[in-house]
Amino acid sequence: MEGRVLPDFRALFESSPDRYLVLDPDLTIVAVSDAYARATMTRRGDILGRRLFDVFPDNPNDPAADGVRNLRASLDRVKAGRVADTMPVQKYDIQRPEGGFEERYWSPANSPVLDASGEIAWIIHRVEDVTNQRRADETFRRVTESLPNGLVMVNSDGVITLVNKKVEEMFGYDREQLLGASIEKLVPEASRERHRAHVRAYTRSPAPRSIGERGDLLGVRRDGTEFQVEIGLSTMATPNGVSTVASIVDVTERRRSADARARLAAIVESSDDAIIGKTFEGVITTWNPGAERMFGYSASEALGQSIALVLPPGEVDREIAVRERLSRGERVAPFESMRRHKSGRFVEVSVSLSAIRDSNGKAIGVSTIARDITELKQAQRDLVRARESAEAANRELEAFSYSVAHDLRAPLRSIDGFSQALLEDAGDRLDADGRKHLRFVRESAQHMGQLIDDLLVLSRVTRSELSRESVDLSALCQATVARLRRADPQRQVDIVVEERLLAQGDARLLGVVFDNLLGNAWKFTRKRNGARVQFGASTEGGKPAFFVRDNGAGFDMAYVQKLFGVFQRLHSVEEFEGTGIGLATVQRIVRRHGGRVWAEGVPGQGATFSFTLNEEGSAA
Amino acid sequence: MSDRVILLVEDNPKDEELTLRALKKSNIANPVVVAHDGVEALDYLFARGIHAGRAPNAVPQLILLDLKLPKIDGLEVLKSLRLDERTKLLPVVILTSSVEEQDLVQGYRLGANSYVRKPVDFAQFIDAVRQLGLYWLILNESPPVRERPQG
Repeated sequence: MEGRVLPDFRALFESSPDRYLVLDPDLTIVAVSDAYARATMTRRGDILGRRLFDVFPDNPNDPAADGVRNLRASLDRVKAGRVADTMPVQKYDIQRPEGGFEERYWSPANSPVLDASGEIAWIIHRVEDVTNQRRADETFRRVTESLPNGLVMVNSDGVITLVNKKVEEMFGYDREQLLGASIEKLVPEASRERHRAHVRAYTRSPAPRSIGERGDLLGVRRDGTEFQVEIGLSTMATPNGVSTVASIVDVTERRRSADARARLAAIVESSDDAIIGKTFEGVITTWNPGAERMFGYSASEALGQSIALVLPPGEVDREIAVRERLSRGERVAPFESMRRHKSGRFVEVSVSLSAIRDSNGKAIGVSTIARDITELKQAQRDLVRARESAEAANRELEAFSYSVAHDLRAPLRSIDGFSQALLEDAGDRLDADGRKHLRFVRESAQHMGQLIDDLLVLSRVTRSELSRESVDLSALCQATVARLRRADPQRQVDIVVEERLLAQGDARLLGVVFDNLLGNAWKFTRKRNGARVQFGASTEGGKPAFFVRDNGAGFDMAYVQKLFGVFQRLHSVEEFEGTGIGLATVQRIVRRHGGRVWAEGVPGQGATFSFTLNEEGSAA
Repeated sequence: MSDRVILLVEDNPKDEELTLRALKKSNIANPVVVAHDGVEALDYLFARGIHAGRAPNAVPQLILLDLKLPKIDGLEVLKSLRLDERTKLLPVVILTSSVEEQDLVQGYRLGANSYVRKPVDFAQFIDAVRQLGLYWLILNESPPVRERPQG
């Protein structure tokens, strides 16, 4: 060392490539390196001898600025402990010479220089300007945070070292709950074994790849719900070994809409309706199997063709007009139309046309749904014809009834009247047989008159409108009894009518029921002493039923089925007069009231006719 | 009063004869004029056509009116005579085979005084005619005969 000249330490210090500042214990600047002055945009002459925080105040425009406070604390620690103090990266903005502040990040370290007595003589303040590195970190952070995919970095031990915001959202954890945790925290229990297999396979050949594309990979959220994920994997060498970077996509929604699309496609494919897409110019763009069946053209034959392919000439103009309306944004109500099959035959269709819009709502074409209504229309036409012929038949029946009422009775009146005239005027010229035969002629004519009248009642029962009102059956019954007694005053019949039996129904038609049932009872008790007729109520299967009972001729239950048929009689006319229409009329009235009628009888002991009303609503 | 006319409107000659017989059997002596269709009936009532020569002021005491008639049917006849001052108040008995509800309602609506259905049984027919005669020709006071308006 001897003979050598000592270096100029001041020059060495000031020329050092590092950034140094030397403070005395009062924090007055006593020395500064050129590099420091450059980094802080100051000049040595301007700052020597000034207090540190007068030269470097906080940026007044940054309310979060904490440079002064943190630096002072660090310097205080150095002074108190006489030890060096390294500060974490600190934002500490620097004043520009032309005014204003510039954002800077620093990595500062402060160390004491002690005098012989061990007291603080100076403090060396050394900084690294890490602003650029800091900006790069920030950019990286922003990029990862803004990624639409979840980003997870896992070290070689399977520990999570980095997650982005999307992962927090996707899995429902806060970042702090994930960093340092095992990656298996995000894998459902049941899938962990498979996950480990993935990890092993990936570790063997760590080329970038995607997994979970078959929908077999699940993630689990903090709340335990699971969801399908797809993951892109790559590796990255770090100072601490090889890490795996996973880019995670929640594919639940994508899969759901893919499923929905597949279902919609299946509906279109399987529909019996023809579903056709076309451009506004009428060029066919889609053609489902329903269209193939309905019109006979395969998809390959139809696609690219004009829709005029299936339009009869008369329908072309209407089709064009409808497309124009749709292109103007109008809606078009479904309409019935005619289409032409490949074979040339016509197909009657109901057509719904609507505009197809893209995701921005712009009309890009027309969809047609056509339903084959050929059979439906045929059925409708058949129905109309059937109704017309039914109405014609009804009108004929009306006319028939009218002429039966009027025209058929007139000749009977002549037969009867002139037979009587003959008896009166020329009876003395006939022998007993002749007079008897004329009497038979008259009886037959009168019987036929009765038959006609009864048939007319029966037909009116069917034709007439049914009214619904509260009817006093007991009163109807009494009215019939009164008529019977007036017509046949010498008969002695004991008639018992239960009071106040009410029902819902048509009073006029129910009156016909009593005329027939009581008329029968009256008639069939004629040959009996102590004739007795009763009207009352009972229950039949829990429902109210009514009955008319007599102790007259009765009937053999073997013939009960015949009782209610038109023209069916169980007694000869000699025995009991009658037309065989009355009970058929009763049955028809009761059925129109939604009820049933039935009979029980014992020959020589009497008969009971029972009926219900409104059992299952009214039949037509 | 017994010489006032009964107008029988009846197209069926057999019914006509039976009705006449029934009137006779019921001891009704009024002269009976028979019209065989609706046109004849109105001609008689208004003294025109084949009846143009008859005394115009002699109106019948009773009209027995069938409904089913050739040319103009009974309900039309009823409507026409109810519209004319001369015949407005004449007693009209509908005597017909039909008891269709529509005919009954329409008959009364047009101003029929009675509606009687011809029975098949001739004994009942005679009885019905007898009662009609008793009521309309004897018991019932006819409306006053109106003079034909002058001019």
